[in-house]
Amino acid sequence: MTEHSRPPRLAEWLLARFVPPGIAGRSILGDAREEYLAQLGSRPLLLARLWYWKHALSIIGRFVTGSPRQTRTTGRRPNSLITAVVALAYDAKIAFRGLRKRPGFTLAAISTLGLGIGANTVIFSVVDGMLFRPLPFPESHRLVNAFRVDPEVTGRNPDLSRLGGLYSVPYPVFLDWAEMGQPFEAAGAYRHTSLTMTGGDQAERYGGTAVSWGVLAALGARPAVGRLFGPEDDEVGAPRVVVLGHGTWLSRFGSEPGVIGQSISLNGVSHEIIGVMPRGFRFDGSSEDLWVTFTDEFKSSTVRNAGSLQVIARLKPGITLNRAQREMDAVARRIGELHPEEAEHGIGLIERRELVVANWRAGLIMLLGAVGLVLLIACANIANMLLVRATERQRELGLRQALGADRARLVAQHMSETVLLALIGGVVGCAVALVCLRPFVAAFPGGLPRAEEIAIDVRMLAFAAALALATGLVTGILPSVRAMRTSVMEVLQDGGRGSAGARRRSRTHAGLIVAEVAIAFVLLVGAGLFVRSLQRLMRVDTGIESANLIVSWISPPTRYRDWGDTTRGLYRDLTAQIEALPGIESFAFAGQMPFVGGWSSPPTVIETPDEVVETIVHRTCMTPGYLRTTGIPLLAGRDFTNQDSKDAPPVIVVNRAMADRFWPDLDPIGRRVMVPVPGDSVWRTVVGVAENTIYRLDMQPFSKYFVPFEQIPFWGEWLIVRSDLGVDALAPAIRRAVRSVDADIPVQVFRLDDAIDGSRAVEQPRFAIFIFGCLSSLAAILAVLGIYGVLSYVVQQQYNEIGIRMALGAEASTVVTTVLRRGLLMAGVGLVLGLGAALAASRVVRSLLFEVSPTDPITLAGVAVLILGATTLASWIPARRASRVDPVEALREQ
Amino acid sequence: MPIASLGEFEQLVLLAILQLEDEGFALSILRELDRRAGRRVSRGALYKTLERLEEKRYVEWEVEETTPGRGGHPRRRFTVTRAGVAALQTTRDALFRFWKGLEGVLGEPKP
Repeated sequence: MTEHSRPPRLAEWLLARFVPPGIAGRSILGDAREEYLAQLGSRPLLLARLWYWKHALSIIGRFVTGSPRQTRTTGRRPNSLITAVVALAYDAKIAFRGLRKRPGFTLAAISTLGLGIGANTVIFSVVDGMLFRPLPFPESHRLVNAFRVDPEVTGRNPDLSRLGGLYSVPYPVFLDWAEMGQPFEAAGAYRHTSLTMTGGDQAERYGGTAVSWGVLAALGARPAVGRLFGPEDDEVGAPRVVVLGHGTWLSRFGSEPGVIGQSISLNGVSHEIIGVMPRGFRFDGSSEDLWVTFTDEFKSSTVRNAGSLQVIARLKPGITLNRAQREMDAVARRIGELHPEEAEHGIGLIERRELVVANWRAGLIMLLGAVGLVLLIACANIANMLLVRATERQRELGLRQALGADRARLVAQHMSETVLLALIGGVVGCAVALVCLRPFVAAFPGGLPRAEEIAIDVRMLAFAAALALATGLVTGILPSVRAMRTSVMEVLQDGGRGSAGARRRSRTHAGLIVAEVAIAFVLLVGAGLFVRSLQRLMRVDTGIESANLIVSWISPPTRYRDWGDTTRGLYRDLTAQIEALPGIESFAFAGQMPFVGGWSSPPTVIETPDEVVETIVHRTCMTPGYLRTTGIPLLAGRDFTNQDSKDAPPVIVVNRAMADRFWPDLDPIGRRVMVPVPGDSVWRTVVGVAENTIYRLDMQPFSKYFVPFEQIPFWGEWLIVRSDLGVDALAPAIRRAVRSVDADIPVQVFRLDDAIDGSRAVEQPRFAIFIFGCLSSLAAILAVLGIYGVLSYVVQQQYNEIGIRMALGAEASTVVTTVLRRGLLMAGVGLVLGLGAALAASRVVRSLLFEVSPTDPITLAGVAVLILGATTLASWIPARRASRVDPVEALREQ
Repeated sequence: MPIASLGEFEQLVLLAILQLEDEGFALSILRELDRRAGRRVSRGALYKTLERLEEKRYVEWEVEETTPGRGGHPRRRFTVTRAGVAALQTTRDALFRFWKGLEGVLGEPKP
């Protein structure tokens, strides 16, 4: 006898547990073995074993689910856990048959649950990947980013998580932080840069990150090959070195370990390759093909008022963020003592993970909540359908109870159908999630942070499974318990019609509907508020006439950056070329441009009537014509002209916010301001006041001043052109014009309107509204369908009653009113509850809204009207049907 | 004697055992049901029915010597008791009375 001639051990063992004791049972085992051998002779081993399992389970099913009397004859009760499992399998089989008999209901329920569970799983995966998982660095909770903080924007008590008023850090300031920063185990500064690698066949452009050695140390990165940066690499005069990103090592160097020690030319400077980053290492974006240290020129800079660096640090073990923040506050004060002009600057620490996802948290949690609520409504609807079915089966269940069936078993059997439905729904949901997750993540405008960490994995599947089970239980428990609680006598006497049981049941129906309406109300209000918020956002006056504005970003090579005559010369040449272009109405250069790029805010000395203050104010340089070109109105005084040259009296134009801030109720023209630039400690006279502009749609205008480019040639990165030629016609001309001055100057040309619309400030809300709108519409449709279903059922139940009343002379209109009243009552109670919930939730949504109150009466009233309207319609159809009941026929049915 | 209540499946099982004469083993009964009545029956249903018929004392069984390939487990041979035969008779007579005279509607029985 071979090993395989024995049937599956577990199946045989189980079978032995359940067959009757003694010879009868053993003979059944013998029969099974005999047949199994016969099967083995005619089919493959696997099929034979499956066959054995099938038949063993069929026998077990019979012996487990028998009546108590039969259990007695078998003489023993097998282990209760096994009994439970086998009973469950049996129930599942029965349930499956039951579902197959009603394909319409089954299909509707499974697809509803599948979509619901799938949507929940997708959103959960996104939320899980972004919010809950630690960043992919060792002990990532200790990683923080440090910023310079601007008191004007953040106030004295900055809520850093909103990410307003956080500024990049100059290198010397970073060195102070790193040296004095007691709470840091390691700290580093970094900035993204672009590197051109020459040598070999051709020049190739790479995204790079320039770092101080502490960045990779703080992140806890370990090299795949070679070494990473050390403190010696940050010395001024240290040899230039580069660490390859893993992808670059693979694509450009064929993963050759021998590259260590080789030299490559980056931006024309020879760098020695010292190491390779580990595979899959991602830190801050896409500019991670190459990692380099800062240049000597950069490291020697003493400029403390304009920075370009991000700072990341790892806190020492056991140091909380709060404590670290307090210690850095002290550092800021010490620096303020050493450099009085920096006394206003603070240092803000933000947990790294917070920084990455902070803008998304509230929205995502809300999305998760919304999608969960939709599932809840779907559950309520299915529960209602099941309630109806439970009523139909009441006679059967009542009888079985009367005959002594175990109540718990009956509930279990009843629930198994729902749980089975939900589990199938869960499988469908998983499939939906698998298909939809990637496209969904990709559809987020501007991309999601940590998108690459959002994955289909065990956590997601476990979530879907748990959700499916919970859904099944939630949906099934009510109808099951309801069905069991009805007294047997009641059922047998009147079939559940018109009795106390029926009233109780209809209260359950109504309760579910009320809950659905309340939830749908909350979601619709949410969607309505978002729509209103977006409307406001779209109507925001940017302060700029953005139509027909073409913006070009130009980035001259470093050799022009002497902030003096070389820079001036370059822009004079550029000006001459642009001027010669046909079809241009006006143009100007500026250091910053709203909606594109950032802004800088150095400390500035301002003479007010009472005192001379030094504080942070935003600033940009501009050439004459900037205000005219952008359409920013000049409120008082004059714009810059070509006469405001290098040697002319120093002048300045301020915006309205700045004038109001420092010279309230006074004429700002003629006031004096000092701009702290090396070698420019002269008082400048205010000659004009411009209207405010905003820099991002969700930000208030802040104080700002303009200096003439000829007098202080800061970087003029932006060329703004007003022309009705269109970007397609103009872009090549602008590029040619710039190249004719210097072919090494990269140029990007686009419409400002695209930048405003395309800035995530608009697209994110729009996308959120789209999703939220879909979810809440779905919720509303489900709730209305629920009302319709319940009322139809009620009408059908009261068929006789209505017939009698009509026979006794009730008007059709009275019948209609009665049914309508019932629907509207449910909707009304739901609305009141929903209103309460919406008010309670208003605190949560406030942060996501733009200039709309979360209790906006127009939205609340509008949604209420919408729901009442839909309810009326949903109630009217069954009401009409009721009014057409033929009394004779109704009575005959009795 | 009260009218014996035999379910349809119970009748088939009893008749199968009778047809099998000395070969009334569970597996043979299964095959017989399939062959004569075209009924594919689950093992569980058959064992349960046999158990019920035994409780009603319509069948009894004795242990046969085991054959190879049964893992040493015994084999039961079922036989119909006199009470079982009587129940079958009662049922048949009752049914015949109903069948009679319906040839015009149902046609002649096919062998």
